[in-house]
Amino acid sequence: MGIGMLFGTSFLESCGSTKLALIKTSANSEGRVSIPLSGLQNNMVRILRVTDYPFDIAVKSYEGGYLALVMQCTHAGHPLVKSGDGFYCTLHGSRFKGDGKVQTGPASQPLMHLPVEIQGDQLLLTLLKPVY
Amino acid sequence: MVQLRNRFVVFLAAFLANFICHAQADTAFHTFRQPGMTNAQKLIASTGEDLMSGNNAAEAQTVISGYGELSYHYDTKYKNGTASLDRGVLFVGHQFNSRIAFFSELEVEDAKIEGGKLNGTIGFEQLYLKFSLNPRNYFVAGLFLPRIGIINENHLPVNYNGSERPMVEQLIIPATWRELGVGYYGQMSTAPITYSLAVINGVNASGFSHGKGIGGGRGEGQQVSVNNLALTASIQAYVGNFKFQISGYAGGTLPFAAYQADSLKAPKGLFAAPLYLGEMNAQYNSGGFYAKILGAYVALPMADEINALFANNTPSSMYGAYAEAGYNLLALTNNVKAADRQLIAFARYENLDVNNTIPKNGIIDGTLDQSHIVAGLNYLPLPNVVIKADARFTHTGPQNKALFFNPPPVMIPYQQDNIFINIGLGYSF
Repeated sequence: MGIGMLFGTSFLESCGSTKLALIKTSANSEGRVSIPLSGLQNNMVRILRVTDYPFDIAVKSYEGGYLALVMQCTHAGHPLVKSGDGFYCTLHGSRFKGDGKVQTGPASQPLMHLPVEIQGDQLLLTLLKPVY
Repeated sequence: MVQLRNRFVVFLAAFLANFICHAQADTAFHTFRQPGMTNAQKLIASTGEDLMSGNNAAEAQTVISGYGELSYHYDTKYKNGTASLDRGVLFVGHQFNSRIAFFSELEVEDAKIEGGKLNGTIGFEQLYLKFSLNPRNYFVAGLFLPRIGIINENHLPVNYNGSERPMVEQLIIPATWRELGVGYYGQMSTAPITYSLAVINGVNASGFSHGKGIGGGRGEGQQVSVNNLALTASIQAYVGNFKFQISGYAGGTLPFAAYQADSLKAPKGLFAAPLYLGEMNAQYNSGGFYAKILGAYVALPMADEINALFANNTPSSMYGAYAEAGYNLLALTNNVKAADRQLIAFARYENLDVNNTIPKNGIIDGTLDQSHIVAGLNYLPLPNVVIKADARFTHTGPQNKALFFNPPPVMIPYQQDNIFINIGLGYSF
């Protein structure tokens, strides 16, 4: 990446819209959540807020499939903030990439991925109990 | 007043109802032992300690982690080298349920403490209970680090460049700055904006010392006076790859009860002889490149009263600012095997004055007007381990001979320009 890229396109793109694309929903009795696939276009991250689930979930299309990441730091269980393309923990400063991999410690493990499957025009997520 | 009290009662009732109703609400989700737990976490989580917290072994979990750093410094002008195990910190946290957690950081500084020796301290860097209202809002109560500056909250050695923490965040913002109190932390529902508000004990001006800013006045949880209090607040905004923060602090600095203040003819009250601190910072992080800039200003408008009481040459104002940029050189390669490694080249410029203005009964010290240029490399073979090498070029104003009451017959001349060579090791997990 050249200096031009640093201070040019990517620099300006990073100032783009910051409003969270928030979806509020509830889980069914089996602890599953469905959201319409039509809402997951354009590689945009959607923040899923499930009633009584202790952390937000980041959902996005990824390499032909879909990712559902629990926004909980794997270091000390603190809730994460969406920051740029990834996620940031205000407690100790861990950073995670958009695919959940660790970018900066102290976290050493990737974010928890929730199982996803496509059913018709819906994406079905299975909620897993967070580990603190 | 009655209306205000009624509103507070309604808020409190709503808070408690929310808290009780949700305390056990997450039991319907699939139990999942995250494969990503560290060995230490797995060990602790599977011991009988969980069972001691009640009949909720599947709910309660204990986490152990920590960090540490050691450093070598060489003063090129005085040809003097020193090395120390600066700190080792043991972090223990316990999640009682999805709403209530405990966090602590126990720190040993300079390797050991020994009777009769001045060096070395052991103390809690943090110890608090956390009460979560929902994923984005929580209270903390206990000993904690207010959100002021960058380093105070995020001080792990893998997360800042250089073997030394920025001088501005040592002398102007005395990181790590922990106090007893209650804090509220929140995040907006629909935008990546976070905020905090805390009530903590005030600093004790009798601990201020010449040239070291306000750091000596920190209570750090040890039998602090609550005859003076402080309020601190912050707001952070995450805009694309930028992070912006503004924070402030206002508090009294005199720890006297009213009768003590009367007998000393000192100002009295919760905010007597106030200390005001304002800080702003911005950070950018993308594609291996990052930059940060921070500025802080401290005002002590009644510094003359503090000097009259404690004779510690307290200034009326201090300021500091720094700018830093760095780049992960390994981001230039497309080596998949090196994806977890980082070789960060960085440079930082700092300017600060610990006695920007002084009261009538103060003595100016030119050596406290400083600028520093730090440049070096950080190598992280993985995100949790760092090896650091850097050089700090320092320039200060001249010494004021009026500060030497009994000058020795032979003195090594003060060096306004100096270069320090630093090497450091750090880890966090």
